[in-house]
Amino acid sequence: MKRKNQKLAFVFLFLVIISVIFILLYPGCDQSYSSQLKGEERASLTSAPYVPPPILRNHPSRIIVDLETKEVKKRLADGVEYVFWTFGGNVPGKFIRVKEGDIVEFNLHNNPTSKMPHNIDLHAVTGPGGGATSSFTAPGHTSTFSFKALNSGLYVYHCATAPVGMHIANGMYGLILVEPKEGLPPVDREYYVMQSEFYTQGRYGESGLQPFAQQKAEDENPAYVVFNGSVGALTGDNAIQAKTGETIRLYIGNGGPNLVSSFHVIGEIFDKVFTEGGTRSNHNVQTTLIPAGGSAIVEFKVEVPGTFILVDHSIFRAFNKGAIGMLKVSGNEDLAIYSGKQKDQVYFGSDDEDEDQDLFSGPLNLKSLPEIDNTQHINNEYGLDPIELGKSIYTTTCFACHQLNGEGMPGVFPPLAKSDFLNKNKEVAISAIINGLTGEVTVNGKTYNGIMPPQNLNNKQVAAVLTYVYNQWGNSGKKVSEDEVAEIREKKVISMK
Amino acid sequence: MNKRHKIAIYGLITGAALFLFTNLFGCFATAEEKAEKLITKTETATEVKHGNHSCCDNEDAGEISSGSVYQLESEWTNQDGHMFFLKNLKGKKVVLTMFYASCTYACPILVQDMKRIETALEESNSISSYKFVLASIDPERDTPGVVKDFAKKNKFNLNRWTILTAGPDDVMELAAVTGFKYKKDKEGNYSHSNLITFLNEEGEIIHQQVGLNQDITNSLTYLNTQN
Amino acid sequence: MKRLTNTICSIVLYSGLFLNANPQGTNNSKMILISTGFYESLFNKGEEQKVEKFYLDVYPVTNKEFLEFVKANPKWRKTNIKKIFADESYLANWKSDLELGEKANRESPVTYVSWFAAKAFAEWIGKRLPTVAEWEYVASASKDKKYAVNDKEVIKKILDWYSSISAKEIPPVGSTEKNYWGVYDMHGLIWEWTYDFNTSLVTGESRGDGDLERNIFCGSGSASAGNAENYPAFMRYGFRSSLKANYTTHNLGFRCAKNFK
Repeated sequence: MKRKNQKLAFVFLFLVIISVIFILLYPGCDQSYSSQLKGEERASLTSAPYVPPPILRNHPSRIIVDLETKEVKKRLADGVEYVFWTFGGNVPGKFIRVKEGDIVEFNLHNNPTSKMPHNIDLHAVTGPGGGATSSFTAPGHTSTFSFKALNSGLYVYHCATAPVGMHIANGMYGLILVEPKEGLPPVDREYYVMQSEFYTQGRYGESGLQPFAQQKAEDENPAYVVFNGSVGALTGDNAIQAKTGETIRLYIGNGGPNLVSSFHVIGEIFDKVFTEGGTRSNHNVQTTLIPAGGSAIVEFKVEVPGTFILVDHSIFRAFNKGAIGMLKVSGNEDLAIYSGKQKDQVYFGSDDEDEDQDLFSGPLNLKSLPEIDNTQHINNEYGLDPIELGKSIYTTTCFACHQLNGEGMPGVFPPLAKSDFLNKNKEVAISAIINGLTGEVTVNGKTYNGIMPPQNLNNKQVAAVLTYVYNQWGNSGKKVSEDEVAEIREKKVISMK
Repeated sequence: MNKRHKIAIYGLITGAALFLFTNLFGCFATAEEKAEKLITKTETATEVKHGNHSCCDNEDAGEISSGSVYQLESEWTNQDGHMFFLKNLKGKKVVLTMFYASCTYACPILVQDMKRIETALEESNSISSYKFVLASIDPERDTPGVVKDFAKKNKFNLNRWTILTAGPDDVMELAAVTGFKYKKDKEGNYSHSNLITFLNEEGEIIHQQVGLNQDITNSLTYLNTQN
Repeated sequence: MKRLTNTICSIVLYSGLFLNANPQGTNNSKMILISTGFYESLFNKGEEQKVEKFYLDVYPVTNKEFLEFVKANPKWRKTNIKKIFADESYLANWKSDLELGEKANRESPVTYVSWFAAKAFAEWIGKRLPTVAEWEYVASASKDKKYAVNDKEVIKKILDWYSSISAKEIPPVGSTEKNYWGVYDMHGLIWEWTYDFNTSLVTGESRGDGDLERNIFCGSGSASAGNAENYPAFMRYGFRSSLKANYTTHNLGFRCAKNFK
């Protein structure tokens, strides 16, 4: 009996040891995370499109955030200025990164030269007003409050001082990321993009310092819809960068104040979307909705090089109001994934008018396009020759109105194909692109009376897109040079006659 | 079944139970922590951004410190009709509320809130170093007679409690100093902040309790940690 | 030598000031009689408040005038001011106690002054601060109309100043529009203290201000905002409610009022 007891005790002990080892190795319980508050640190804040580095701590800490509200005059678009009310001097406001369980001590400083009192409502705060009441601060003062980051996620913050719409419309919003305890899976690059609208007295592109237009804001009719606070904040040299094979994570916010964004990256599919900035992820998404005062985290791997355009797919906002950004991916081509253009042929459709409806059912009538003169190959910013550059601009900027076939829309948008108006006078065409075109015009015998807004293109781009247009659809085959565009841009006023 | 096997099976069951238990416990610890839903939200501490903080004015005991409410030289009248200067309160910790006697909604609750503080301080035997002050914002109706009745009705211990009245401008200055907001309506009633202000022995504001029926623990902590 | 000239200059200057010791005698303290009328508070819909006729300064109080005040009243000098009466940025743009220096133009409105300092100045000069009702009543006039708060053009003009960048040095008084009453600079130059600035019962949580926060304020009336279009008024009420009586800021000055006998 004694021996049996001894044996039993031995087996028991053995099993206890085994299970202890199991517990220590068991991954589900995240034994490495300690929930005890330890240490104190100052949050490092970044301006868009940059994001502070991931938090590697495995315990919550006391985090001190210092954010200054500041009223600044800055560029909204080329030649257009606006007085922005900001969190940290830029629109959108600084990106704040903390971890679930952190105690955040928030110091809101209102710059002494501010005209307005300001406050902050962080959607990451559980408590009345999201901190708004506790942070109401007169110019030249500082308010302090603290909160515990209870829920992980990507949250919008904004000013909530009366009239709240105007404070937001003037640029007072940003994002705060509360990382989950276990952290986010590592990716190669992270960027911060925030969409918002601006309501200016002048129409899109009208130069000078543009004041806030209350009526337009109430009508929800913005002159500008932009990423990261201004037209071009994410294009050209400001484009975000990546290399082929890398995984990108974008923290996207929508400051509003009014519009919901249909966020899309042209030529990419989001592998993963944390819808509305929450915990659930969806996979293989083309366009994700981002509500005003909401967010999303999107992740995707970039397989092929090129420029990928970020847009609000409510598409007039992209092409007429500025909601365009760029992700430039460098690296080697992968023709198996994307071939590039393999052929370019003229397509005549069917001769028989009755068969128009059946366009794609009959035999296709294709004929090779004569080779375009490529002798003047210019290595431009995109590594494309002017015709290709022109085509890429046309298919992003112009086609929405003038259509891919250059036929326009009867009675609304004039045709560019075989256009007498266009072929008659290069200068008028250049001016229409850079200055816009308003009032009655006659094209191929029909009158049009619409508004073409000025396009946000540089001289090289204008030259390229016009050269492309002049060499398409039975047009005169003219070439337009950068110098010609520059000349018109200086002259400003061109007679339409 | 072999006995040895039996033992092994018992052992296994116990071990597995232990394994599950420890694991569950480990998991619950974090869940519990999540359920804690604790939010520490201190009241707005507003301070000036620039300039040097003159935190340590070494002034004479007799002098009134630069940040003291007692810098106000206004003349008040107490419930007995005697002239009263705010600096008479110097040397005591003060629990101060602005009110008006004919208020039917918030002021009676504020008085009860002050009484709760009084009771708590009585229990901790530190009551002798405190004064409870009600300052009226209604100079027209709150005469010394009216406030005396108010004191009787509320059974105030007048060794600790003082009810003050003054002219409109003096009331405005005290309100301004304490951040108390108020507004008279057509009927002669007032909209006003629900605010209890705590002063240290120097007459400096050490804490303000905003709202009605608040948990007084926080305020008591402030009172006890000062000096 | 330079020092000597300076001293002589100072003496001449100072004696001039002593001769001119009557505060009423200064140029800018001209007042205008505002006739009786009604004013509708932003936060008390439909409730018209009568404003009895009173005198109001044509211009905000200037640095020059305020300098005379602090010369006569040492208590209100930069280095003597008590913390309870003004925060650390009191007269921050002045060079010293009795020198304006380069950042404070003599003819520009005095700013970086607290409510207490403004009130003390007004009392010293035999006047008082205007009430919110009085100030808003006069401010609701445009160039040629007595009541223009619903005029979109007027709103736009005011809003443009509110949303422009602060001037590093505030322009001299009289540099903006003269309104219906003959009063200058009600909009477009500075914010101004009012006597009862602490009557805006709002919390700074603007979205809840449509209704009085009963826990924080004991209310006998509705606090719902009347005119949602009147952004400038929202901003003034918001600004006032962010203040405490000892606050001083770059854009905040004052002018004085006086009862009609």
